Amino acid sequence: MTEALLDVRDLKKYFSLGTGFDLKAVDGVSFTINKGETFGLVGESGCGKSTLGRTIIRLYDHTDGEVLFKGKNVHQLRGKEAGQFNRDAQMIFQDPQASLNPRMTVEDIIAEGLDIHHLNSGMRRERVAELLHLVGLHKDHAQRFPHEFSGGQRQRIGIARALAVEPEFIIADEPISALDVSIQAQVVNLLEDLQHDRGLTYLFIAHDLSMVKHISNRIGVMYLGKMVELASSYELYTRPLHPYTQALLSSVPVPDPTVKRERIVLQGDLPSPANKPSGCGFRTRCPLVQPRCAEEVPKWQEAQPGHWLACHLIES
Amino acid sequence: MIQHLLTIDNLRVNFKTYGGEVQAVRGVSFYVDKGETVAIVGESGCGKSVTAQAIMGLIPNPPGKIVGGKVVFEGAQISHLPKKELLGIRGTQIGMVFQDPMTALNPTMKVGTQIVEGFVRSHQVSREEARKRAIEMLSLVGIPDPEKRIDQYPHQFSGGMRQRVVIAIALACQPKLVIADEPTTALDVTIQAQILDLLKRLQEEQELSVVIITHDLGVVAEIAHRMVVMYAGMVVETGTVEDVFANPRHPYTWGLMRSLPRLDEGEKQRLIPIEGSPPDLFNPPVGCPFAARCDFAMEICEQQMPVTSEFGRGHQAACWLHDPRAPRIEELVAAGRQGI
Repeated sequence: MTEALLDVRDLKKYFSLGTGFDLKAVDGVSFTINKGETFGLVGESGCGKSTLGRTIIRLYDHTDGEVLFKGKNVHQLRGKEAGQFNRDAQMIFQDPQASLNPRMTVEDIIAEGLDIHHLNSGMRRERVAELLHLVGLHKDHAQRFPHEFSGGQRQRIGIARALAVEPEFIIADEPISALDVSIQAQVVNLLEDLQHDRGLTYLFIAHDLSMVKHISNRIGVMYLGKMVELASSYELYTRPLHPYTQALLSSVPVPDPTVKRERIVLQGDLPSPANKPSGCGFRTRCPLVQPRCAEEVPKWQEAQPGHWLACHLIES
Repeated sequence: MIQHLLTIDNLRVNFKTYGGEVQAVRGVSFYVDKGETVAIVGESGCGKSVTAQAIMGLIPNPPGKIVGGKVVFEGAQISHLPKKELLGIRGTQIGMVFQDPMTALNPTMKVGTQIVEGFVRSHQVSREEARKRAIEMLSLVGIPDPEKRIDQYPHQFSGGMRQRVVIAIALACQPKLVIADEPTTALDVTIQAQILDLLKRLQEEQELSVVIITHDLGVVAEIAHRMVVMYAGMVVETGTVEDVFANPRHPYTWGLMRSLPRLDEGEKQRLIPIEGSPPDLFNPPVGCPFAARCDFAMEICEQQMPVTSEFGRGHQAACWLHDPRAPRIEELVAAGRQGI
């Protein structure tokens, strides 16, 4: 039995709109992440995937539900334990331009976590050099500023910063979307190597389905603040059950002109998360919608072993 | 001889900056025929957007300047035209779809007015006719309820809908050529699928010629007839989409295709990235710009610009490997294409 490192139970995050209404960005999401695995989270913009990541790592306070990290509720941690969680869980951000302080040298950026957690013990410079080497940069880069680096190199700095405090769990929020194709593969390989060498656990958030499928062991698909399907990446690709997952997979352009596919083109746009449809959130765009979908919220259930789903069509 | 609709001949564009002069486009040549879609593919900074801007006469001068070559549209040279004459072509003969629909529209103008702005100027039509035209265009690009929608403002539209409006603007004057600069990059996949379908349909219905600029090889395979692969301001490979995907001839194209994960890959394979990063265009290398990252680089690659080799049906690549004097070319090709 694999050990769950992170257990998210019915997590909710509402943002107050100040009008008496709440924006339900994350609305009752449950899943677990096992130690050493990569869990991919996909969905379109506005589906709540980034909010979910940020709520897990306590950048946002939760509204309801709980997040258990090694069995402890992270939103109730105080003092030393909270500090330890901040070390154990780290984040890599999407935009390597915006997530590095332009006025700090690379050394100060990477060592900031070391300073905060009192881990430098006189070896600060050596430790930074070691980390730079680990992510494929040179130790001479330590005294430079972020603007002197390319996008791919900056993302490597972000990764080095996350690794500095020796975390067990890393949330990577669209870590490669801002990078060019040929550089994306470099960063993904680096993340995979680090995972292999250090037994890291990843929550990999992205909208690029083919890259998520490549890197993840299991994938969760989100739509309007809810998880609609969760399965191993192979299962999800070969046998998607939810109509949204099917449409999402079929809309990815395949880089092969000889492949002619039957594409499910969804009509319309993602509804506003502030004004969600009743019942199933996907019903306004679903090609297989039934009257029941407007009345009842589909239950989150295990359709097959390890394959979770929220859809009325599959309920027996 | 059949005349191409658009010919770009040895185009060179420089930008003056504080750091020196950037050679953004360094001798780009390609053509577009009537009714075909040509994709320009490349990474950021390879000069693909600057090429598009040069066609439209949108290079800001200063700092930018077309320093060589020409753009020929329907037999007439349109680079270096005075602004007044350019206005007769821009928007009416050639339409443009921009990347970011959030910033391409004027937030203070009703979308209907924006759509027919160019049409009214070039056709001198009455108010009613213009309104009719705007409604027609909105329904053409698949926006429901067009009579109501033309009196709304851009902020009342979603991202995908805004991109449809931008396409309607580009098509309002029935141009012969549409240049789409990363038209789906800012959109979600399901919306991207809608917009690609729309572009394909319009292109077929209206016999449009389309130049689509993208970094996504998936989009290229989906929509284009021919493709132009750019690297460091130069064309490294060009040909029909079928030829280039089935039989890429330039190591950079091999690298691009290998570095992509496939949605239908079975066993998990390690990605093969292109190591290093593109050259600095302030001071571009004398030889092949890709030599520093190329697995097959030879001595000559760093010293001399490669000549372009032809492989039939317009499939060309600029690489020394295809020179008759190059060693063991078949073996190199076979080795290099492993894992594609």
